[in-house]
Amino acid sequence: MRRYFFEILSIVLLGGSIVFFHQTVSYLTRRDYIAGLILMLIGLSVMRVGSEMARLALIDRR
Amino acid sequence: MESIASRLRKLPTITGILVAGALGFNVWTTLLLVPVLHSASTGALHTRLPLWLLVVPVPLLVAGLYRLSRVLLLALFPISLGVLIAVFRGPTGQGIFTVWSFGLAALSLLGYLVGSTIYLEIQARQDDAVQSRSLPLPPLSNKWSRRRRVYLMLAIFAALIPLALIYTIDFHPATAKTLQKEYAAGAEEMQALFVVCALGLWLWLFATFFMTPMEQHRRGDSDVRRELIRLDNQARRGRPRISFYLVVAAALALMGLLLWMRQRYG
Repeated sequence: MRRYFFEILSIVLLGGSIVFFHQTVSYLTRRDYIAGLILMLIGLSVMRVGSEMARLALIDRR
Repeated sequence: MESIASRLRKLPTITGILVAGALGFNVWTTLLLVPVLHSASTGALHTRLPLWLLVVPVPLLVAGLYRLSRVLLLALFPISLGVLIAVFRGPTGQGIFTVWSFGLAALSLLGYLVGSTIYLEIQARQDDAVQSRSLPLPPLSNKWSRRRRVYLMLAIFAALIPLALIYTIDFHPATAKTLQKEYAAGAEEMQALFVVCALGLWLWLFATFFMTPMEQHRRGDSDVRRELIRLDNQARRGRPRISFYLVVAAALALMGLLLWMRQRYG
């Protein structure tokens, strides 16, 4: 059960990071560079958290 | 009583501290002190904060030399310089660095990085038991001479590529003209953003195309063994690593910052 939870969470987080990157691009096109940069950093952080969850899911599967 | 030989072995330590310290202070003076004082003298500084903040890297350098810390000397000190330069880019950087002074500053930084690395390496060898029973080495074989040439070439390019990227963005007249044409009032912000992106690109290139082949050449190295054991332990741990919590905190803080900015500036 735990491993499915981690797997789903990692998929949601990695998918969610794409939303942040999409928002980054939309802010950059509006020439709001600072907000774009912050959103890019949030996207990278979310991606990092997602990869950590994927690691935990893999350990649970061993 | 301490023998003369053991006293002599300590000499490189003191000389190394002096040389690495002098190179570090040289970088700090070239990149931070002179531009900030120049801005203060021309009245470009609106607050006294930069004058207080410019001393931040100094304790990192002194602590790094005292503790012989790679992290402090080769990471935190240069990073603190980079962060402060990025923060003070408006009042300090613009219009102060020409191509030649930028080249001089870059040489200072490279000199500091190479000098500190050599100093730390000498110190690490002094602590090594092998040093006390070193044997005369045979002349280098062709294979190792070739390898050394390749290492030297990689090191030279590792220095030249980021400098070329920064030069192209910050100092090349055609880039400045294009940025001015495309972004008008926001040209300076875009220039800063491009520098950040170029450095990020360089870090990725360095990790992928420089570090990976070099890692494959490291054999029988205690650092590599320690790293492998650490990675294995990390892979077995069923709990999130400390970086996980740091990244979550950073993401939440950035979201808070974004909300605050929306509320304040609309």
